[in-house]
Amino acid sequence: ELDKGLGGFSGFLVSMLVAFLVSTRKIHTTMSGYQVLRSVLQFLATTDLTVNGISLCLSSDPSLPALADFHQAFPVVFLDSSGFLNLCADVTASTYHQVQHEARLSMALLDSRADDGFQLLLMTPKPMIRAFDHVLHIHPLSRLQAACHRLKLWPELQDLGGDYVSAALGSLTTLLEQGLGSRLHLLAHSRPPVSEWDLSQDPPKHRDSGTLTLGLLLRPEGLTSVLELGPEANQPEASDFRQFWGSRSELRRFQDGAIREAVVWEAGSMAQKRLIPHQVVTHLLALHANIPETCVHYVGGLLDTLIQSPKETSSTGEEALAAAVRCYDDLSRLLWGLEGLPLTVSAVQGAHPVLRYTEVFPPTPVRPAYSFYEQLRERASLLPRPDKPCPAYVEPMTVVCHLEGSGQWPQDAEAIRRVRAAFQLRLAELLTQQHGLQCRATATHTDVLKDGFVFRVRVAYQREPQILREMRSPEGMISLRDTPASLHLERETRHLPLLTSALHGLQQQHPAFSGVARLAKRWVRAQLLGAGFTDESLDLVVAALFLHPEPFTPPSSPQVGFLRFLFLVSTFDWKNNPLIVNLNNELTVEEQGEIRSGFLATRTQLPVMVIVTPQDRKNSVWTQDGPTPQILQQLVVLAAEALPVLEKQLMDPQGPGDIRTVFRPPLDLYDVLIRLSPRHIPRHRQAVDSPAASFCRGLLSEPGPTSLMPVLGYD
Amino acid sequence: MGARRRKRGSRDPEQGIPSPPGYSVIPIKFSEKQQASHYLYVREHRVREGTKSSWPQKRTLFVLNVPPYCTEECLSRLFSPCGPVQSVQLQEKPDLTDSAEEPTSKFFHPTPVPGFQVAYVVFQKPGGVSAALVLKGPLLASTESHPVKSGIHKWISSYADSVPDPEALRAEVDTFMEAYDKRIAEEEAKAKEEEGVPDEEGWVKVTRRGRRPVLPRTEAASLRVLDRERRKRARKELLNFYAWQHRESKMEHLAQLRKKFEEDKQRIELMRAQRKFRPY
Repeated sequence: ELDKGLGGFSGFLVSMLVAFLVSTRKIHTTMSGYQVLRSVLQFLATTDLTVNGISLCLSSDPSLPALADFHQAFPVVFLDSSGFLNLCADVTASTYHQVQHEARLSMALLDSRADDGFQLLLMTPKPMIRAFDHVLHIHPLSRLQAACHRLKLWPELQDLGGDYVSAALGSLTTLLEQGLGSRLHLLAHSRPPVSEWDLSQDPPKHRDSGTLTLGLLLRPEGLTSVLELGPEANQPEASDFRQFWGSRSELRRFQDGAIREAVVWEAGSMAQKRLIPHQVVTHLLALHANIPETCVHYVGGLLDTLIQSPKETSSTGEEALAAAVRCYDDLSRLLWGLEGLPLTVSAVQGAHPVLRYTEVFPPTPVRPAYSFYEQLRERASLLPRPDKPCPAYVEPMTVVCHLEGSGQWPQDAEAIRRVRAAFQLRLAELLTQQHGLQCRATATHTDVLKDGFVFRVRVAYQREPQILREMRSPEGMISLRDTPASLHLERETRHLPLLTSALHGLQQQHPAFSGVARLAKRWVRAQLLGAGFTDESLDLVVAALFLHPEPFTPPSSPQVGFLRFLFLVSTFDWKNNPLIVNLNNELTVEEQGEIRSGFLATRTQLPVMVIVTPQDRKNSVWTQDGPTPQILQQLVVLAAEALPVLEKQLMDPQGPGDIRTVFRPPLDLYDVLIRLSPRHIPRHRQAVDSPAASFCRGLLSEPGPTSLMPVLGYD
Repeated sequence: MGARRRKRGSRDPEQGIPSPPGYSVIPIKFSEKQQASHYLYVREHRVREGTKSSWPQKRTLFVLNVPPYCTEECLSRLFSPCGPVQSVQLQEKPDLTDSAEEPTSKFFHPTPVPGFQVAYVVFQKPGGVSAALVLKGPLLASTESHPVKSGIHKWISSYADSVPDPEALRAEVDTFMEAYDKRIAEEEAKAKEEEGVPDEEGWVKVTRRGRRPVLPRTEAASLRVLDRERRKRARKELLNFYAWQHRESKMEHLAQLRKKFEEDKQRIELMRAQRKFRPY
């Protein structure tokens, strides 16, 4: 959308650029269209017209004004063939930087020889709300007039004939860029449309030309810093810093002994740290440009309310997830060091969404109130009582434990199950004796209560899927066939831990992955389609947004990631293309080509939604029993409907209205609705529209030690 | 399967309820409070001549469409007015053999949630079967004297059942492993004594312990052997010797080209359908 509006980089400028390149012999007349495009993009990406302007004028007449003069008057210089006119007079520096940024991304895309490069490069719309992490609207544009006066922009006002919007843009953008500093990758602004009016009427006023929207593309590294360091107190730059930051800059002494000017922003949790640019922008605009906070509408954290837990509103759950993962690390260390098992533990792997940071509602430490439950004394467990409301939902986190290899395991499936049960019992005993943890063992798993979190430990034997696959034919011949039991076991014990660890790694690289995945899953489940999709398939679709973000950059905020998720789901051709998620960059381009051709050959045997990862190249194990065609189609349709609604809400300068509209499912297409009594819904508070009152679910609010196993998985 | 083929159609004229032909209908309700009832379809158990069935011929009643809340003792209680009941067995699908399997362990084979099932009710006297065929309903599965748990109570009790007793589990595992170890040891001992001893026709079984190397009896090993044989044969046969071999190879080549052409045509169709850029 760069070519629209006043001061846009329109088609005329591009044609002039091509003419320039022809004149400097960079483009020959024999080149094909693709080569012309490529050389234009390369020129845009590598040269900087704000520093070295270009000119179509060939004569070097000394009476012509020099390029340096043009540079003093205009940010971007591109002279026409007369030498007097700057074609890019209206183009601001930030628009030009945006053009350069896009050109660089496009060059990278063309160089990577991706399969659908044409589609991505030339046919994907990139509206501002989907391209930029945080967007802010400055609404009553009449304030910009006051801003112009405050910033002393009278010469520019005169030049532009009283158009205070364009006049203010340049200095506002430089102001904000200086303030946001290293947090910012790119700042861009929308351009007011070039309006037409009747001859007999007055021209429309500037303040009616819509809103000014600024988009911020943030660097992920800058998201966590709460501090802006300034120069040392005795240097002359310190006074400039103080003047720039106004009342917020303070002198502080640091640990290395230096006394420096610094600005500290208050931000407790990760969610608040993501919104620090909001504080920076409002402070600077109010201080220097006299634009009060009420005129600035910042759209960056509006969807955060949907991933907050019902009780705490200041954080979006990252800290809770981190606490759960720390507890899991402690438990795995205990398991590693456990003595007394016949075979030692060789690997402990997590296999639950919490351990890959994508659980929508992170678990909180549980401390049950004993009066609420019945107790099963001899098993040290709590049972729900029929007369009280349903107890709170506690989900145990699955952990797979591999033991060292040994030839002593029996080769019969039933015997292996019994041996595994014996291991579970022994594990429970040892954990209770050596570390005092409350355990409960069953034939297939052991539930361990540690610090209020419940973990479900499964002992796995590597050869078991192989043994389950063996089938004896009547002649006594042993053949290996995949049975449902063996596939299920392999998925649980081999593929799931690998996927969990790969996504854990992805989360460390891109901190916004967790927020986007949780929002996406919340939306799918709110639309009542959660039963059709496995957790892992949705996580993989979100991972594809981060690993293959072309033509965008990877998202740094949950909001933009969610919008891109909706776009991907609604426009991806599930029938004819597999979704390739290249975790850890293990698949080369040739392998991807092979996978695609293999996909076309076996399309009829594959499920309707195919997701390919390096660990599972042919079978798409996560969608095998996954969505039926009707459910997938329903999801696509809902995403296509939800995307424009949500974008319109977010781009509305008066405020977004009810952001939860998209999260409410359409109920009129069902024939029968069964209403459940809220007394017995354990996850009642997790509804999209949180209920005004709910029932006490038998948990005490302060965490403390418990001695009985709470009710697990009761829903 | 036996002679039970279900056909749609014939309505039972007395009650206006559709039923498969040859079956009589008995309504069954969960309790007094329900208004609508499920219907059990009953018939005497009959098989074709010559087919073996382990159910005693004249005394067995075959019941279809047993709802999930009806257990075995519930059915035996409901049919006891027709005559003394010897045994009841519930199954997922009609099956001729009375599979008396070893009792499945509660820990290792948790019973799956039942849907609608099929029952075989064996009476002690044939008169019970004929009395059951004319039984009118409605039968009540849950009464005050024999209540059936449902709803919250059922879920709480199934949760309570799922909490296992470690001692019972340990005892069961130990007994199973003892039996297993004994069985393995016996098999080993038997194999050892039969080593090299010919059976009644004079064949000696080739086992791993013999002097000559032996292939494992898996499908992969047999495929490998066949592959090797095929390669040896291919080395020895001449492919272009006879005139008919020339002709055949040419025709095969042509057929392959044609097939490839069809495939490419289909692929191009697909690509054309997938094309998203349509500027016209």
